[in-house]
Amino acid sequence: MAGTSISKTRSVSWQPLLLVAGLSACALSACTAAVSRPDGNPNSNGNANGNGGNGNANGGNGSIPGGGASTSGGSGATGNSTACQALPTLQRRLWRLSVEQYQQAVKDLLQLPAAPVLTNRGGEAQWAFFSDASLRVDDSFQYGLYEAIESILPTIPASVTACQGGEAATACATRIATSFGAKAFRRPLSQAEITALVSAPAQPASGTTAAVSAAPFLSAGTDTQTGIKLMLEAILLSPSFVYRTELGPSTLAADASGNYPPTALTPYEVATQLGFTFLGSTPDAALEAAAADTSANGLGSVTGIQAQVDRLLALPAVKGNLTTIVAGWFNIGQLFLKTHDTSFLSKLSAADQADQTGVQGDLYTSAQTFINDTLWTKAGKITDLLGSTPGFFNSRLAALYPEVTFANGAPTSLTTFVAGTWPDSEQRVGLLTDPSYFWAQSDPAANSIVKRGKAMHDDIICADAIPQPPDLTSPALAAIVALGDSEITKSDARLTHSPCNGCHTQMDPYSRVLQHFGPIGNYRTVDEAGRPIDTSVTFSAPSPLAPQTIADPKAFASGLVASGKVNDCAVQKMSSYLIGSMIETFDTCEVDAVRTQFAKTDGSLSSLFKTVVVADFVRARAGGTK
Amino acid sequence: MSSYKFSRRSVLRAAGGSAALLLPLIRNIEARAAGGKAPLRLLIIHHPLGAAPGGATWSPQLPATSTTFKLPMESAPFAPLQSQMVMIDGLNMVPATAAKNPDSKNGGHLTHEGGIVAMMTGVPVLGLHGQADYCAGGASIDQLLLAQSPSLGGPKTATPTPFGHLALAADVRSDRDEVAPRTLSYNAPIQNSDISLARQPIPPETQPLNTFNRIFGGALPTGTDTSALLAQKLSVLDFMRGDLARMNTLIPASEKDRLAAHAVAIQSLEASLRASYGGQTTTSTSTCAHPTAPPNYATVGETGSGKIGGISGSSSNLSGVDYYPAVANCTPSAATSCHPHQDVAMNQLRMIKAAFACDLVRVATFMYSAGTNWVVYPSTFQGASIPSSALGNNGQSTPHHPPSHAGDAQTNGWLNQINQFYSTMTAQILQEFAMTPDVDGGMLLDNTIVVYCTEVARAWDHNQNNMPLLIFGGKNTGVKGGTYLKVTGGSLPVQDPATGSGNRPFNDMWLALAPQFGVNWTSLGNSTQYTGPLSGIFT
Repeated sequence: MAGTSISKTRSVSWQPLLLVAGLSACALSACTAAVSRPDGNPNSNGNANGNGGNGNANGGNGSIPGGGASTSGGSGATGNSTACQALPTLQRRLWRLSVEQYQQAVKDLLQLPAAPVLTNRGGEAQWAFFSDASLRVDDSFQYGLYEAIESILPTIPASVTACQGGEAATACATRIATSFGAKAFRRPLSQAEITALVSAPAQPASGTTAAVSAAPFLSAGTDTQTGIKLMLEAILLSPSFVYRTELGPSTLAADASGNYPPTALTPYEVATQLGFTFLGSTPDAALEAAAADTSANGLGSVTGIQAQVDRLLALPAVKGNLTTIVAGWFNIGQLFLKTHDTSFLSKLSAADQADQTGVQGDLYTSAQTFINDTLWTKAGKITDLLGSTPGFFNSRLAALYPEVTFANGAPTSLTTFVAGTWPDSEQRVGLLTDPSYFWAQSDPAANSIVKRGKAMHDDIICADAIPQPPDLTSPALAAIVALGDSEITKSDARLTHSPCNGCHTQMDPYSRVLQHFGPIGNYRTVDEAGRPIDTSVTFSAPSPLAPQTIADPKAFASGLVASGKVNDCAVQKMSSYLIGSMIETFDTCEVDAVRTQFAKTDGSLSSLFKTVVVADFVRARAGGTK
Repeated sequence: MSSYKFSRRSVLRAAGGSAALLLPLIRNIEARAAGGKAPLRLLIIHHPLGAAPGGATWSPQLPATSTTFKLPMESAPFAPLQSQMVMIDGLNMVPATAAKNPDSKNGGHLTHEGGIVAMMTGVPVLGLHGQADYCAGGASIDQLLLAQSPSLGGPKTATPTPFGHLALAADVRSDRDEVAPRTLSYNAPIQNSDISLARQPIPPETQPLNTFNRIFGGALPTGTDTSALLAQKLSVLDFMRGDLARMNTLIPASEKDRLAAHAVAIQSLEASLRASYGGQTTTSTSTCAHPTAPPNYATVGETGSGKIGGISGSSSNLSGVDYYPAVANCTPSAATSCHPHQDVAMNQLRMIKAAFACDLVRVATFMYSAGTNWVVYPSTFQGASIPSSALGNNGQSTPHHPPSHAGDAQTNGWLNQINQFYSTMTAQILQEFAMTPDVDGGMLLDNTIVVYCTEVARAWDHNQNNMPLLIFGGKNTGVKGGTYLKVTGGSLPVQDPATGSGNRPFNDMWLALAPQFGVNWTSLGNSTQYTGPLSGIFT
């Protein structure tokens, strides 16, 4: 494949086509040719801003231990080794915690019953697959952080701030600053930092109006407990907590020309990477200890990393977090942002129809239960997400989908989700036929063939990006867009007219085979225009399902699994998650190498994470300029 | 024991705050006493989707500059402000792409996304990210002026305002969550090989209550010892600054700007704390009237409040508020119009008005919505109905942007009414500016330049010639009020290129505006993006 670079998305992995006319879309015919992305470097542009300058600090390759940077085969349809592209090394960087990570980390550190709520997301989209590494702390977000911490200060348990019997105030504060600070900053605090918190004047920051302070928190005319809480507030609002640092050793020195050498994450930074990946929060005590361990058991070695990953994967909290990540891979969270036409909800109460948040929550929990059941309870493979049954339903979902049957009795409450069986005639299997998936990937009152198809193209098989659509307001294209009176007939028009068919043959078929499922995943036999639905689809190259004609969802799901692309895509997505940068080119050498290693495993999510976390590229960082 | 810092702060507190933060207040007091000049402010307001079907319903379409003109329906709400307004007709948006990163769409020409970026930065974009997310290649005009003007109270001036600037919005839902259509303000780009990381957007705040709390301070429990609290919280900030300084010694150049912005954010937090605890801005005066605390508005996802028809569209993970009432059977009152989108917008604009009046900021940007607007409107709005074919099965409502390209007269009529609705809101707030006392004894609008702009000239085909553009300003701003300014003599085509040329680049307006704030630019953007300051706007 000819993608020229990887690039990073704005947090989400899913970027459906612009439907310019609000009804349909078509894209360039260049889809059958090489696809490249125009991302590049910032340039000197000679404008009044005085901005510019090139910033390409990329370089270097990672490799998988024992695997090499370039591989072939091993995972079904993975591209050959000669075509793979090197993954640009990530720069040394700061990475702002996501809103959810910040909230969870505060909750865990302070042992709170509930996480604080950030009312400002600082530019981060809800339900993003991962936190965008470009996000900064602006005025409004900083104030939001402050408000969030202020809100929980009165609720901090005494166990967090209590001094021990006979312990002097300064000693108590020093102990708490040292231990709590290390957990929050994900590294040991320097003596200067502890001193700044506890007992000596803080250094004034240059260029600010702040005054020099002395023993600020314990000498503010307040009691010791209040002072310690202020100390904790300072820690939780500080950049060292708000940002994950991926800078490599602090001793890293620039050369005479101001360039830092390539480097790798420190053991503490690895602990942070593992903590936020697996726990969704700061490193736990064992990770902290492993970071400090300079032996072969520590996080400075692959062996040490593997040991910690093995330990983490046994924790219920980790399983829950990884389930959430998988749900994010399938874009399930987007269902919270979709409100559907009430006509689809006629089996529910008027209140549920008017406020669909309850149904949305039910569907999300149902999907989580399915993922949990498939991957953890049954210890299944990743591909089982597409091939597993049954679904899970509470009483409201059972009412909404009355064709589901329950072997051990229908659910009777909103809080209990019970395994249910769809009728064989519906041919449902796995997440791609789950109502949660359709709710998230449909328009309010109609299926969106483009939206669903592109989501599968981009996120389930990880095909390289579809080019941007042309101007659909041009007379020739507007005429095509105007064709058809239903999603299916409009899709027919796209698939039969150039230039639209160049790209839509790579998207629409994935969706056409699932047209028996309506906007909320309701089974239907006729489309919105009242015509019988024909789901028979012939896939053509470069689809991994080509050359096949597939007519039912089960054959579709099994075909995707058999192609190897689902596993390949899982590797690409989870690699992206780990590094916080969406890898948009399928055939990168580093990801191929992980695929090769993963293909030798049992195919479980645990094995995938065990494989990807030890790849060099997730820890390698380009030095950059000073 | 008491620290030096607290002792010093006690002194400062007795005087109302630190020296730097005291200055605006002192300056205001002094100005009032002396009848001196008030500071000049800049407010940039963006309204989405241009005019429809184009100039005829927005401007009088006169052949030459005139002081005698009648505003058509889309701009008619501004009639009461006409004497303080210049309507500019004949500037074209000229997006461009940095030479080293050419793309096939010329910097987003004829797109909402590229239009906003070009309008606000004036320079070529870095390139295209994703489908239509054009990455800003420079700082936005408001930020440039804030940094370079000696009078706008920027952080590097001798007398910075407490908060520097405000970047607010009523809604930011956009196609595919793209940054370009939902951002007005940018810092200068940083070095990064990924252009989506190199640009530096300043996300606008969309909750009025958050704005209120940050700028004017939240409510404190009765009996709170604000002096002690302020001292404690400022110590928290000291530690944060120390940590930032430490981090600054470790990061590569590519991260410097990130931490520089963070330092500004901490400074802004200090201003907020002083507002909450320090008594500096918590007391209303004759010229510094605080707004009442707005409610917290519940937000909804891309498909609005459940009344949308079968509009296909591009997904968004963002949320906002719609035109529809949040609750059934809402009764309009002083507190609510029963239209959340309107209430959020007016509350945000009133925060800006109050912040200007209290000299907390002198620069602000506000956007009603993203250029690709997902605010949901009724299918019949102000008497105009959109064709049912654009609404899918339901036929009750639709987000603003998706049907805007239809181009038929009925849809354009519906779009006209929505644009008039934005004009009405803007006219209302500017009339409030015109009735708000300023420190010099005049009114706030006398000392405020307001740029009212949009990202495309007309919605249906994204034409960017003859961009709808209004400049407002009272007697001390130099704005030649009451003017319909017909741009002539340029080399760019008019809205319908077949009918001739004579237009000039949009940037010529910025080049004319900058000197009002003591900044003289000889160029802005590449050679296609400017010709020189446009005369006729200012005296």
